[in-house]
Amino acid sequence: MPNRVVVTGMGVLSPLGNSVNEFFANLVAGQTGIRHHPEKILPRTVGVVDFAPEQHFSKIQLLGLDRVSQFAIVAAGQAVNQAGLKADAPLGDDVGVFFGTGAGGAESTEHAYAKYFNAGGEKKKLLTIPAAMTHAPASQVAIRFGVRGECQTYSTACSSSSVAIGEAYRRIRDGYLYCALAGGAECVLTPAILDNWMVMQVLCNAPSEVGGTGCRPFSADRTGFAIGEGAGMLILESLDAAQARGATIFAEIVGYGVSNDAMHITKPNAAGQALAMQRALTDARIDARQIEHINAHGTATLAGDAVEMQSIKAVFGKHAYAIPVSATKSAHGHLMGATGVVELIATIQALQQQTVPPTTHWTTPDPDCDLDYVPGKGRPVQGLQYAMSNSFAFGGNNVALVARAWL
Amino acid sequence: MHAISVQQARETITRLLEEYMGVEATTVLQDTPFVELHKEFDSLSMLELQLLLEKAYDMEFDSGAQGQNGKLPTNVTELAEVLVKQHAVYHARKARKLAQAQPVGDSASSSV
Repeated sequence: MPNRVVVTGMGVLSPLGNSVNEFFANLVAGQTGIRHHPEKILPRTVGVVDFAPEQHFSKIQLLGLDRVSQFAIVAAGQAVNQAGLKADAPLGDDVGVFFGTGAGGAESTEHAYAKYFNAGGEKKKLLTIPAAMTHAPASQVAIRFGVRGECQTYSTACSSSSVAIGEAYRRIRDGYLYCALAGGAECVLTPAILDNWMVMQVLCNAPSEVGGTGCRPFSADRTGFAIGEGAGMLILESLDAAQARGATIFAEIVGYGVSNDAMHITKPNAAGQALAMQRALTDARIDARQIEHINAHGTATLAGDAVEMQSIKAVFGKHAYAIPVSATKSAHGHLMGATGVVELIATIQALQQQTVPPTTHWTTPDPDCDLDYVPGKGRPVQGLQYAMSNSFAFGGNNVALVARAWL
Repeated sequence: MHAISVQQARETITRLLEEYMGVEATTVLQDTPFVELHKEFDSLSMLELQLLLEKAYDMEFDSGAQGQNGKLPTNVTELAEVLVKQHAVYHARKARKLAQAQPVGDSASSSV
């Protein structure tokens, strides 16, 4: 018998707040976390996390931790605490870390290159390699919490943390582990990275005086997304293990679908996306009509949103028009490799609180995008049992996760 | 270049440990073993300290921060002694390179 897999802890650092409750309350209220960076000169508004590293780490620890690892550890700590797991004893041999990040320690990498090419800053940076490597944040989480079962990093661009959660779910379902810390982190708000995103022509053009109103998914006047930073971690456990220790259960993960376009390095593909969604439904053993909320990938690019509409309609048919579809990147920004876990946390909160989050800043109907996007503020719903969260990535990796309410 | 004394080196090392690793100066100066200064102090911390010293003195260590016995220094005085030697070696090598880079004209004129 496969194990049922439940969520018993969540942690988040996001542009909308640094706890799950704060994050979701701000999201539902229609707040935005997208603004001018308080310290760096960047070409666009971004989703910045208010974070004071010295409140969480000693000086000596900070010498070796890139911001992305700091985020990962703090988010994991929140999740471990909420789950009531012992943070001071090793979690042991039957627990795993499953982590998603696109760029790993990008700030450390950029700093090292700046030094090497004499582009300013201090003459020497301390040890770059162990701070910058893509697997550093996952390893640091495993070290911090004594996770010895396994520790994996998935780097599939913008679906990274969704893949990590899906793979952790499979490990527990199939009996390899009984518990996992699953999620991801991304910290790419650096001048060189932003500069190169500008060239891609996918970043929204926010009027500088009003800051975070520029990302308008599914709206006819959409111009793209705002890049954000953040982290999210879940504690996944087998239902048996969670119930045996009397843990509070927040949701059940019931479906994971993954697919790969094999078409184009950046262009999304409706067939690939639909395959992932269909597989998630099959895995969950539910009918498409049972999905009553979708947290869309919704990056607010002209082409991307239209393709996601095609794929959702291909899978859900007429029922698509009855589903509230939210694109929460409008409020927290596109957190790249960390975006999947943060959006799944929003989805789990929607199930828990029976309130679907909004697509903030949506203004104008588009004939290609004609579903219910919950504009402006969150909306209370009744009897919401199954919800889907989509993550699609440059490179062609597509993931859909299905969660079930546990009330 | 000016040679540095063991005492000066001890003070610099202590200042860097205090500033970058948050350890207390008095404890460092009592020659408390590095590993007892902070539970997180490890071989990477020693490497970080070496990089900080190289920056502070605008020099490079010949190899690692090992002493003549090939072992890593365990406290501030041992590291200070290594630093003083490495500092002298670095500047001697730099002076040699400068001398080698002198224009060929010098030796040609002396042979006349």
